[in-house]
Amino acid sequence: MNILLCCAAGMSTSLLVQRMEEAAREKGLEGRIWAVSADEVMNNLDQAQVLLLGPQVRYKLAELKKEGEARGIPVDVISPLDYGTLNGKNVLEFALRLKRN
Amino acid sequence: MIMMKRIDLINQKLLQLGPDNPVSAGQLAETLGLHRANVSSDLNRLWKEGIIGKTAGRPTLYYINQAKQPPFHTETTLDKLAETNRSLLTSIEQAKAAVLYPPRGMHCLILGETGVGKSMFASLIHTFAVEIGRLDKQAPFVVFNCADYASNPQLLISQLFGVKKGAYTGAEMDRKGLLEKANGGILLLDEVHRLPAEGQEIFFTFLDKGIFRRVGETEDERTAQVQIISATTENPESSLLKTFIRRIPMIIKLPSLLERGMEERFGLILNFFREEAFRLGKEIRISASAIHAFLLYDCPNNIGQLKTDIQLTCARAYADLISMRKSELIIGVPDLPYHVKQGLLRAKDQKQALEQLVGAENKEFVVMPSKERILVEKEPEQTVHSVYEKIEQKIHELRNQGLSDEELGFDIENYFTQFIQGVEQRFNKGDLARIIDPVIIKLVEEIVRYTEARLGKILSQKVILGMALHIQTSRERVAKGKQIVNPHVNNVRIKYKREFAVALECVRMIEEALFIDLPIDEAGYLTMFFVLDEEDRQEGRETVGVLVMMHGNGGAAAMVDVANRLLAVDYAKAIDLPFDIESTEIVELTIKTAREISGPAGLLLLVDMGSLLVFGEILEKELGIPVRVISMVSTPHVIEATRKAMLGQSLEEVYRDVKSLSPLQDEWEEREEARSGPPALAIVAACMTGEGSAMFLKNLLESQLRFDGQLLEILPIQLVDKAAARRQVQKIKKKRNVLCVVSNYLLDKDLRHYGMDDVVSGEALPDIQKAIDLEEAYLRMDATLKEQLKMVDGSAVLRDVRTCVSRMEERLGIKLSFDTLIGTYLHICCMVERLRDKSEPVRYLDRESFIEQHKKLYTVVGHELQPLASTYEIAVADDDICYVMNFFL
Repeated sequence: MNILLCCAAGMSTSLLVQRMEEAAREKGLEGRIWAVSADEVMNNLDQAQVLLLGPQVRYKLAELKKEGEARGIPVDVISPLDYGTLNGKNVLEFALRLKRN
Repeated sequence: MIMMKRIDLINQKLLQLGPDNPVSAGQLAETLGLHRANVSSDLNRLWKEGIIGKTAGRPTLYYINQAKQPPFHTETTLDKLAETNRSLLTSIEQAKAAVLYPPRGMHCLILGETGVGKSMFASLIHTFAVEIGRLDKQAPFVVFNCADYASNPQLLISQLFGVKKGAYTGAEMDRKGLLEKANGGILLLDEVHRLPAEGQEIFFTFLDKGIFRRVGETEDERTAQVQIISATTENPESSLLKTFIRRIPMIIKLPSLLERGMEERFGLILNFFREEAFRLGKEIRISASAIHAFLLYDCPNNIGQLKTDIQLTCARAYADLISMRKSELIIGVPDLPYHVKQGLLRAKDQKQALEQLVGAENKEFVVMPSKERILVEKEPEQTVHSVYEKIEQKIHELRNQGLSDEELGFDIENYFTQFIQGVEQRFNKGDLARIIDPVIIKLVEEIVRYTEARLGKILSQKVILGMALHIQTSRERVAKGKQIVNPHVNNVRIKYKREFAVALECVRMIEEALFIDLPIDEAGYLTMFFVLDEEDRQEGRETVGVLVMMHGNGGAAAMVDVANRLLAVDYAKAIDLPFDIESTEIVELTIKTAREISGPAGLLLLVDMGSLLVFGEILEKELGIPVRVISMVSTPHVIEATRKAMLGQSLEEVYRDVKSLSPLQDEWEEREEARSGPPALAIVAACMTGEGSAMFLKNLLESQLRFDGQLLEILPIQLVDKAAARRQVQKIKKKRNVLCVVSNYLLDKDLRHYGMDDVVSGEALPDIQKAIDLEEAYLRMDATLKEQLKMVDGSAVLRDVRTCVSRMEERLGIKLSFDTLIGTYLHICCMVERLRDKSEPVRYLDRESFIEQHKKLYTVVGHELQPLASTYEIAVADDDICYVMNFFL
């Protein structure tokens, strides 16, 4: 499954991406997990199956949700706690749940 | 002032009118008040020289011939400056170009180290613009130092751009800003790198479009014709200056004293001596060796310092002259300040250069008191004049007291450095700015300057500080509608007539500066400040003692230290009560200290807890003097009590004033808790009935709370002996971060306590859980960031970010939820790392409108990120601020 993460500069989330990749490997999941800055989201959205936003770009949620709906891609904001503690496992689970619903 | 020849006057007028406004000889004669025939002949000469053109027909009209006009006809101030300061040639040409640039001159930025003469240069630019007729004779030259208001952006903006009536509380009338006052002239913005973010934007708009608004105005845009000269000591690569430089095409760099070379320095030295000779109206003789020292000594603050050092030397020589220790104004090496003498150590290496420039060592220089060759003096003369007057006065005074001439060698250096350097230097602005409004600091500087001039004495540091605090409190009182009453006002008025008259004038200055009305009682207080130094010396004056007592180690001492340091006195006293000290010991110690510091006037006791209230009675009985006690003491209380007591107010007055004091900001308390990096967490469970029930409590907590045993431990302790239990808690605190204490007794006032009942009933558990979650998450982040961040120390950044976020929460009155808090921490930590890394800047879409929508949030977040920015030497952009703001929405 391809999971796209979005934050201010792709910096803090790229740390999170590492953790999510570890978690995905443990689960034996295939797919791509990558992070981009807010400006780049639209250029990457078509390749994603789930889009997760960092808490600091929450303000883009409404806009991106619309874009996601048009493409059948679920969009949501990462829990600030999981984001803050770089809890890759929880965020991965969250992405999977979103996709399933 | 330079006398202009008639022909130059005419040339200048035509230049002013420009090539498109031809005039007749008659018109010109009339405007200039000259004889028509003379004007005609001059016009003809100018025409022959090709400087002006004339029209055919009658009457003949003359106009300036732009192309052929040589830049200036007369020698301008800047030209004069260039003659003796060749290293300034480029700067001077740049300055001229900036002034001449059509249509109204070009904004420019002056760069240079402290003391190279940036303000002086700016004022010369103004003079030059007037001389060549680019500016009107009455054109204003307004100076604004951004650093004065850097900590109060709102005030800065209102000073600079003006205020519309009703824009905020206290804005009772429309007020012009300095920009408007500078209309038609030049505004010098000194220390422009201190212009806060809020001011920059408005200012840039003015630079770009020439328009601005007063604070509170929404509709009309104002314009002002002002040439802006900014000045800074900062590296132009800094982020603010970069944006600035984009808008300011002309950058003038002034060389440091070192860069200007020895020859120019020589010229400057002689010139400064000449100025002093002129002021004194006496010739000054200076030995060649003294000149050598001035040429060679280390002078990091450049020309400004060189000048001060020369003034100081002359002041000292003058004191010698009038105390008749010398018969002439002679300056030799022994008369030099110590650090100047150090220059001679380098004389050997520079022997050749010195001899070439100054001549052999036995030579002597004489400067005459003529004004010739002295460059324009823009600084206020009277401050310097008064130095000499003060010396005369002081020496007469001492002589009248029957002192011999030898004894007259009082500490001139100390005494007059203060005068020469001005009042500002006596403020420790760092300390003061934390508690006193910069407006008041500025106001007090003015008051001190005025008072010192009128009363002919120097006010001590403690008086100045006390006065600043006093005025601040008075303003608060007035704002709250409380009265200012001084029961001694009549006595004071009779006893100190002269001081009282000055105080009345100062009251008027305060009223004008702060827009408040004050009763005459206020003048009584100010008078008491003015005479404080003298009163101090009088024996047997009784004042109220101030004693601070607090539990714990060092709390009371710290408060007293701050108060005493701020007021530059050693007045208030502290007693710390460590928890293991015996109560009989405490009583003895207290009585002993109280006896030392108080007399019949009584004692004010400031304590942290009600339990110490009993000491009031004990002391009253033991010492037989009145004692008043105030509990819940804070540093502002101690300061207020100390300064009121120092002024000689009665115990009841001090007590009343301190008691009614509203708590100032809590900024006093360093946020230690946020700083201490916890090695591990602990919860202390203490029970009266022995260890058994403490263990029960521990088991209960362990079963009810979620936590990681690696990070948190619940420690049971016995509470049979309270003192021992307190000691135990102290010990634990040293090694671990104690989240809370579960106990029915207060074991440490700094720790959060939960009653046993609340824990057993489960009421306190969610609270405790929250604290645990936060601390655990924090510890995990700490570990992660330590590994992940490359440019900065993860732990340190996290700690600082935590402080920074808690300040934002406090200022915004928002408590972030635990989840958000953790997210915020990570985001800002990563932001710091990214900015340190100098990678691509981020963009926040629709930034401007977002900021516009959340102005207050933007200001607070931006402001609170500043400490981080300076600690980690990063530039936080608006985009970064916007992302952080999102956490608070």
